[in-house]
Amino acid sequence: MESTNTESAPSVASSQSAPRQYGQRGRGRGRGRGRGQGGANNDSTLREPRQQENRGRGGRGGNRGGFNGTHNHNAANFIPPVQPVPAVPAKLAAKENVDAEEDAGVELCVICASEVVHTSIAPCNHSTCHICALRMRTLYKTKDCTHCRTPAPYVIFTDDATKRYEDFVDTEKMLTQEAIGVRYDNEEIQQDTQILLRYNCPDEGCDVACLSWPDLHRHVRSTHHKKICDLCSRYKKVFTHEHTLFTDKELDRHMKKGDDAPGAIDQSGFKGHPECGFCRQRFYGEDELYVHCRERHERCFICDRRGGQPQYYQNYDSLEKHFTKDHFLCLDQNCLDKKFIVFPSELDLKAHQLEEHKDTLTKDVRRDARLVNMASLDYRAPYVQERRGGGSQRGQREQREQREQREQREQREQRDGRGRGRGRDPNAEPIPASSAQPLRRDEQAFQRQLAIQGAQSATGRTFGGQLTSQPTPTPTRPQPSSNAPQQRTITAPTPSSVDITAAVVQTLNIQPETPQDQARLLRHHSVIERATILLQSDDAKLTQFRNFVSSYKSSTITAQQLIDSFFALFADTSSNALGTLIREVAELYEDRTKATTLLAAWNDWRAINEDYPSLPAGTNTSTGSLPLNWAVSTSSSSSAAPAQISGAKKSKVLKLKSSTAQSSRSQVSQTRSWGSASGVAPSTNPFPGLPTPSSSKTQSSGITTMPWVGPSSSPHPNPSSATSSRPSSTIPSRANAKSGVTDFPALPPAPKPQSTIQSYGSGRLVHRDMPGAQSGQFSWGRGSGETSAVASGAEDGENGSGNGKKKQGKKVLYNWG
Amino acid sequence: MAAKRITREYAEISESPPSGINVSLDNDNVHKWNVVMAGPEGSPYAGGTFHLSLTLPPEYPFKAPVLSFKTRIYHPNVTNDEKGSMCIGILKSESWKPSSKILAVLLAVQDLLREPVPDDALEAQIADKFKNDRPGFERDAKDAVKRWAK
Repeated sequence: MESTNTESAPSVASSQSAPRQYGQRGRGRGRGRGRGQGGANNDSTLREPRQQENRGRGGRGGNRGGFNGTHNHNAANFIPPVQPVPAVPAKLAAKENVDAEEDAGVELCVICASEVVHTSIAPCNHSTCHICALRMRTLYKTKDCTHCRTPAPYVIFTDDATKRYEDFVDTEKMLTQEAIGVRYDNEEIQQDTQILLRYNCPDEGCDVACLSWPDLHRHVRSTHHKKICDLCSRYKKVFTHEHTLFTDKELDRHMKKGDDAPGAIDQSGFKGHPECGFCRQRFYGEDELYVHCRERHERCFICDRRGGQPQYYQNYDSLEKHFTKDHFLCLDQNCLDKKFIVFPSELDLKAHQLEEHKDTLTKDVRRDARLVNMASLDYRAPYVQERRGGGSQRGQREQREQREQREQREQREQRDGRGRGRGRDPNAEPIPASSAQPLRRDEQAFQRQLAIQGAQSATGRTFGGQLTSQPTPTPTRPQPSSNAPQQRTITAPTPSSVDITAAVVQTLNIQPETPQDQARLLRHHSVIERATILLQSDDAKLTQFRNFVSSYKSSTITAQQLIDSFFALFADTSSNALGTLIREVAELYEDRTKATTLLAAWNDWRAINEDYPSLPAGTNTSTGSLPLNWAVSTSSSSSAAPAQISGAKKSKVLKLKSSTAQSSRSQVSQTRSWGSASGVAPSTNPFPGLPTPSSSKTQSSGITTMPWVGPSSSPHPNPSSATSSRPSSTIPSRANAKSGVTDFPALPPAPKPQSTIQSYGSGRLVHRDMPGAQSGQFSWGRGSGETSAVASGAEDGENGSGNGKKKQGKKVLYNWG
Repeated sequence: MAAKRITREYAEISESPPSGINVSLDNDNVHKWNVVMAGPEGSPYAGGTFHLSLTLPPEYPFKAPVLSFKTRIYHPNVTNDEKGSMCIGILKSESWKPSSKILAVLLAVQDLLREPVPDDALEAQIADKFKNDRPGFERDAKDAVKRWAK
């Protein structure tokens, strides 16, 4: 920042400028426009900004002559000494100017770098030229010092730049213009200043001062056959005579592209008035357009949270369409009326429904709402969101593409009547396992946090640990090339089974290094855990079990033998539970043929040993599109017809395998239908998945008991993962819902008032009278210049709106940033 | 009006450029400057060369310039993306003063590279790292310099 001393330059300046004042005074009568540079109706207004500058000078000159009542139009040939040389490139010219001005000892204003005519001194003793001070006070409406932002209720315009503010005595008695807080050292300065505030015609050769904006608009149109940009006249913070006159064509260019002329000495840097893509209306600048969009148009808060380019929607209707299409909108009428009741995930929506609409939902619907469709869980979203800032646009684009692909896939599935419960199609999920690897830990941490929150919630259920392992299988889903059944379980390893698991890992010779291996390890955990439960932690039997498994792996026994030995081993276990176990075991085998053989053997066994037709493996394999209705559908058991056939026979409720929904390969559908069979068949049960022992007892309905839920069975988390993940995820989602509501209150149903921009012509008479009464002299300071500008729209209304409408038909949503 | 002040400032900076800062006009447009800034010695950015874009609005100096990093930088106060938007006190509209010079702005950027302001961060994660794991931050910043600013 420059100090005051450099400002209050040599007094030479003022004395030097004294003779020029005369010249200017003479010129000033013509308001500097008789210079002949433009002449009247000068059409070569390509270098508008330069004209502005000249005009500025002219204005100043005019001020000089302000007190000298005679009009003098003969000063056309006067050229100010500091007039820049037009054709020289900017930088050179700048240097020359600086040198020239400094050599001449001319005092330059720090703000505008122009020669100081009168000095404005603020109470903080910072000084500028009187034009900058006036500009700040009238146009920018701030009375703070331009140097230090100290409030300056009054400044003094003087010709004595060496004087300090305190040196002026009796300031009360000075010529004062209260509205703008300016005291004048003498009458000449006052008149100079007031001339700046008139509605001066911007034309260089015209000294007409109009009465108001409408008057000026009419004047330039009728006299000069040109226009002043309406937006500029309202918003541009320049004095009236500094505005630019445009022909229709020039005005169009000005609106669209601006009139910047890079390289020119007097370039403006103006790039055109931006247009709202919805309303086809132009605004003065990005800020004004932003305000308009914020007030008139809508943004999706969910997408905003995900980062990226903000996108606007024309109104709430189109935003709601977007909600319906891309997010999860609560369709309850109350919520629709409230607006913005929308959630980023189905899980959140269900949580909301259970929270807010539990009274209106039927029992069935409520039960279904508690089921979590693992297929639609988007683990990735929260993570990506967190690294939003760091995420490159490419990353966001990828994410968007993934989302789009997923949506398309879902739409396709729905069209095919398969339902979304079928789960993700691994072939269409472009998440390479390798690149996903580095993300895993973060995701795990995130999920773990969710799980901990869930575990701490009032439900008191102990499945906090289970969630931990949920995300892990996600990227390790079978490579697209392999098409053998592979199933994930969500059962987490518990401390008691760790050592056993390790043993199995050794048995099967698996090194837990790659993600696939890790997933396999997890499956081992779950198998062992299930076996442990089913065998009631009988170590001897467990060892037998492990031996069988490895024998089959090494092909020392056939699948049929394995099934038989299992049957002997798990004598107490229901066939459904055993079936689950066998499916899990089958998944452990890397050799797909072993897995399929095992499953086939199991089905054969069932076919032979049970009265009901078993699930024919072939049938199920072909009907890969079996919907996993229980996971998603709201119509509960009725839609689970295929499952009922097989499941109704031994309606043992297994609280299992909601995670199967994750894997959607065709052959797995067999296992899935098992899961669904068990879930759906006892349709009288309130909620098959509820993992509390008591609920499983109530389900019994004469069914065999389930030893593995028995009281002795210990601290193992219940393997029912569908329900287990619910409470933990519900907590954050509820928070989301709330914050969403508070952050984005509903729109007022009533339409917003129209902006002044659109209400041309209203109040025209009123405004036109007012400045007239004031002779156009002091209206700036009182802001009537602005109000009358509204009326001015009446003049150019047709043109302004015409320009606004004939924009290109592009349907671009306005993007910010 | 703006052009005169800008050309004057440009002439001043061109004549006696501050150390580690080089300015040029983008296509002879005085409203758009290309700034090349060397990472200040003693900061993790030392050795890096950062390109910045300085846009001066038509209302300059009554409105603040807009400054952004064209070179990607790992810094709490600069968005870590292609935009490289930055948050710097002197340019905030509520604290901008018409008397502030572009030179002061550029020097403020240098200061910001020397000493980030984590409490005024655009990148919360980087700011956290800066606050809680200074060596880790410096390591990451140096890595980023190697990757983007060489």
